[in-house]
This record gives sequence, structure tokens and C-alpha cells, in this order.
Amino acid sequence: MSWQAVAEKDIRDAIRSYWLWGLTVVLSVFLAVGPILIAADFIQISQPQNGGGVTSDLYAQVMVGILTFFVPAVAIVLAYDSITGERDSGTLKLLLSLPHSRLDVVVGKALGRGAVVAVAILIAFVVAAVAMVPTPIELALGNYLGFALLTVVLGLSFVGIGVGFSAAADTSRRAMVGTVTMFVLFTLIWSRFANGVIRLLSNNTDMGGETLVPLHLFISVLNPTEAYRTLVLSLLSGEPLFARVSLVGGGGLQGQLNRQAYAQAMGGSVPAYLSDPAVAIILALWVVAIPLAGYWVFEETDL
Amino acid sequence: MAAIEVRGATKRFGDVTAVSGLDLTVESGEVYGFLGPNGAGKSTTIDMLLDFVRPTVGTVDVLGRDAREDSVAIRERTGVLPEAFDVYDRLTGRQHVDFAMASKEVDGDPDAILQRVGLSDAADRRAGGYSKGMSQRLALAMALVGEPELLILDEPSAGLDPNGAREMREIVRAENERGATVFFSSHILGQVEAVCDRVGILREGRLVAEDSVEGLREAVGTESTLRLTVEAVEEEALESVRALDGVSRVDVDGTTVSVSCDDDAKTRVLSALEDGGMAVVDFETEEAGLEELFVAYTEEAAETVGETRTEEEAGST
Repeated sequence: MSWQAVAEKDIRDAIRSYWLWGLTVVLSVFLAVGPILIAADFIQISQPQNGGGVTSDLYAQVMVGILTFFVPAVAIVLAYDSITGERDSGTLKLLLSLPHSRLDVVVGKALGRGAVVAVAILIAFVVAAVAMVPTPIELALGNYLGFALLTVVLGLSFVGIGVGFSAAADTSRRAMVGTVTMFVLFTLIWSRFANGVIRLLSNNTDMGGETLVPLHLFISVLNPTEAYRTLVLSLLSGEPLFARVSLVGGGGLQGQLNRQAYAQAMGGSVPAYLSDPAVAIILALWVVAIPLAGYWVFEETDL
Repeated sequence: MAAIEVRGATKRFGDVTAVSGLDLTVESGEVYGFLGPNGAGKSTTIDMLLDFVRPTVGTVDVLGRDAREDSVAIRERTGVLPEAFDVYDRLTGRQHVDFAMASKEVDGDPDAILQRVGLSDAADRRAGGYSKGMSQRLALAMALVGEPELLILDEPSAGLDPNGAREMREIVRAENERGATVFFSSHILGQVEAVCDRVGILREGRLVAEDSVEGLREAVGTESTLRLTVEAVEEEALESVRALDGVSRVDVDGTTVSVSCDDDAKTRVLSALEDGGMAVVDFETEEAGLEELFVAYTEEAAETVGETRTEEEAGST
């Protein structure tokens, strides 16, 4: 296998790219600004009677929602033209003149871009941790590392989506349309889609809550951004059931009531297919499934 | 064993046929010049050898292996200079050669190879700043990594100045002496006649001629071509030229008259035209050479086939 050579070349190429460093800086500032704002807020509110301390868990809770938009966006920007870019410019001919199979190219690209995104995210997390030092926020190290790791996996799943579309598309423009469609699907449309499916089933079949509720949650966690969010919540709260039902119900009091109803319908525990390991496997599948599907198309096409 | 064996290969892109029933054999150890005008299907043929595109019909074997199934194994033993490629803008010349070495899993001195192609001074510069000719040299350096058994060079002289083209020929010769088979394409025959053992001429996706360079030279003879610009064409004067000894061919295109003739017949041609009332404004002589034959083959084929030159659109993809 020569995917190592492809990945190494890709990383070497990427670290000379202003894009990568620019996005790392943006990500770092973004992650570090969060703690500072929280700290300022916290000090303002609790200055008179300073009770208990605040840990980085609160920071993670605040940040997780926004990261489900931001990390996928960064990942697809860095990955969508990983292969089509070489195809458009003609470097792919140079690459495939060397003894690399097309699978080597897809695997090497996924690993190379994945490493780049992982490093960018990890740098940003280190910067954010350093930014917490002068604030009253206490670093809960274990949870913080878990949070960082899950964020990396989220990044990798969208690198996978980007590389997969880049392998399958014949121009960067098409790869971009494909990846942006996936991004919009997962960040804006999926929960409505899940609600719609459940409403349809609820209105047209005799399925009861004990079937529909777990089904609703399962459809929700098929979305990598939701899988990530619920895993982070589970990590922070230690309560998988709470973390799963947090995915549905909407905002406000009504949302809270919905979630309570969902928790009751689940009988107070999560089935195996909604457990943390199961959701983690679903998230990890996104890392490899779309690149493999993209490879399958790439292998059959004329360059 | 043949280094390249193409049998009945046809490649269609939609309803455009780029290569049509091509049979081609390149023997181990020879230098084979693959000639044809732009759009004749040369690059499509090379793309099939490298599994960049797959033949619609037919079989393609390289180094005794199927070009599709064993493409990686073939490319492990083949050096390729592709056409219409680009270099990695942000990587230096040396990093490109390092990458080729890592890809072919060979150890070696990248600087020695870069020196061989004349890129020593630019080894540490980013390839994004290279000229077309330098990029061409860099790709050749990558192709030479690992002493390949077969070199496939697609338009290797493109972008090179005459000096660079000469160095390219020297490298081709040296690689052949080392034992490598060399297969390369060109649309300019002058660049290949000096190094080729055999040439094949491709026209509209078909091989229209294949011979040794000596064989082709004999077919050409010692004629040269006189190209005249005249004020007006007089048919009678042309007839008298055609009737002259040593004149084999007279073509007219607007006010340009091309006369293929023996060298010593040129003066007689000129006076025959003047006598017939055709004022010669300007004239030039073209060296006798394979170029003429090449042009004759490709143009004649175009006339006889009479098809539109649709391959031009598909051939270079």
C-alpha cells in the first residue's frame, strides 16, 4: 500500500497552505473567545456572593452546539477539493503516473486531510485551555480531553464526506455542491426530516410511543452532528438517556415537557442501539463510509 | 516479450471515437515514436496504457500484464511523463522527486536525478514558480526514478527550447542503452527521427503507417518542397510544371503553390512558372525529411477519410 506516501505528500503540501493556518487561527480564536466571554459573564453575575466554581464542562455545554456548525464547515472547506483539485489542475496525472491505486489516493487523502483537521482542532483546544488560565474557569481535564477527541471525530466525519464527494465528482464545483448539500442536510434539515418521518408514522400506523420514540432518536443520531452532540452531552452529564432525549423536543417549556415524555416512553433507560458505544460507531462509520462510496465511483471513471 | 501490446482497442467518449480498432506492438528494448497531429488519439492511447481511461473494446497489455487489472504493478516498473499535467505548486523540486521515490519505494539521491534533467539550481524552489519547460524536466526526473523498464513519455518536448529538446533526446538514448524500452508521442516528427528505432503514425484514432526510420526515409527519397507565393494561379503554367522531369507533385492552396521535386529541378520549376505568366512573389524551400512524409500521411488520410476531425475535442482529454 502506498497511501502513506500520498498522505505524507498531502500533509507536506497542506502545511504550506495559508488556508490551513488561517482556519486554525480562526478556530483557535473562536474556541478561546468562548471561555473568555463565559468567564466575564460569570464574574458579573456571581461577583457579590461567589458560591461554587465553574468548570470547563460549562464551557463545553455552551460550545457544543455552535461547534456542530463550525467544525463541519472547516472540515469540508479543507477536504472538498482534495481530489477534484488535483484533477482540475492536472497534478492527479502526475500522482497516478506513480504506482498508486485509486484506493491509495482516496485513503491517503482522507488520512492527510484528516490529520490536518485533527491538528487544527487540537491546536485550537490547547489555545482555549490556555485562555482559561486567567479566568475563574477550572479545567476538568478528563472531560475536556474527551470533548476535544469527539470534536476531532466530528471533524474527521466531515473530512470523510468531503473526500468522498471529491473522489466521486469530476470537478471541484460539483464536489462543493455535493458537500455543501450534505452540510445543509445535517445542520439544518435533518431534525425536521426526522420529525416528519415520525409524524407520518404516528398518523398513518398504529405504532405507539414505545416504538416511535426510540426510532425518532435513532434517526436523529444517524446525523453525525447530532451523534457528536449527544455523545458530548452524555460525556458531561454521565446520563445517556438525558443526552439522547436532548436531541428532540424543541425549545422552551414545551420542549422540556416533550423530552420528559420521551424519557418516560423509553422506560428510563436506553436500548443497546442508542447506547454511547452504538452512537460512537455510527459517528465513526461516517468517517469511512462516504470515502469508500466515493472511491467506488472514482474507480469506475475515466480521468 | 512485447513491452506494449494493444489489440483492437477502441475508445469512445460519448459518440466521439478517439481511438478506433488500434493494434500496436512495442517490442522490449526499442525506442518507439508515436506520431500524429494533435487530436489523433495519441494521449487517449497513452491514457489507456496507464489505466487513466479504459478501452470501450479491446485489450491493452503493458509489460505482459493487463493494463486495467495490474495497473499498479505496471506503474511500479514504468516511468511516466504525462501530458497536460501540473506540478504541486507548494512543493519544491526535490520534494517532488522525494515523493516519487517514496511512491516507488526506492532509495536514491534526488539531487543526482535533478542534476540529470538540469534542475539542480531550482531543486529547493517551489515548483509553482517553474516555467513550463522546468515542470516538464521535473516530471521527467520523477519518471526516471527507480530505473524503470519502460518509459512512457507523452509529448516530452512540449515547452522545451531546442537545447532542452536535445537533452531530452540524450536522456532517451541513455535510458534505452541502459535497457529501458521507450515509448513516446510527438506531433513534431523532427524531434523524434534521431532517436527512434521505429515510428508509428496515428491519424483519427488509427495507425496509418508504421516502419523503421530507415524505411520511412527510403519512402521519402531525396525530394524537397518548394513553396511559392504567386500573384495569380495559371492552370496552364502548373501543367507545364507537372510535366517537368523530377517533379512528383504540385499542390495549390489559394496563391500558395507547393511543388515536391528533386533538388536540381528547382530552377526549372521557377522558370517554367515565369514562362507561363505566373509572377512569383516569394518562395522558400523546405528540407527533405520525414516531416514531409508525416504531413503527407496525415493530410492524405484526412482527405481520403473525409471525416470531420472530431477527435481533436476528445483526443487530448
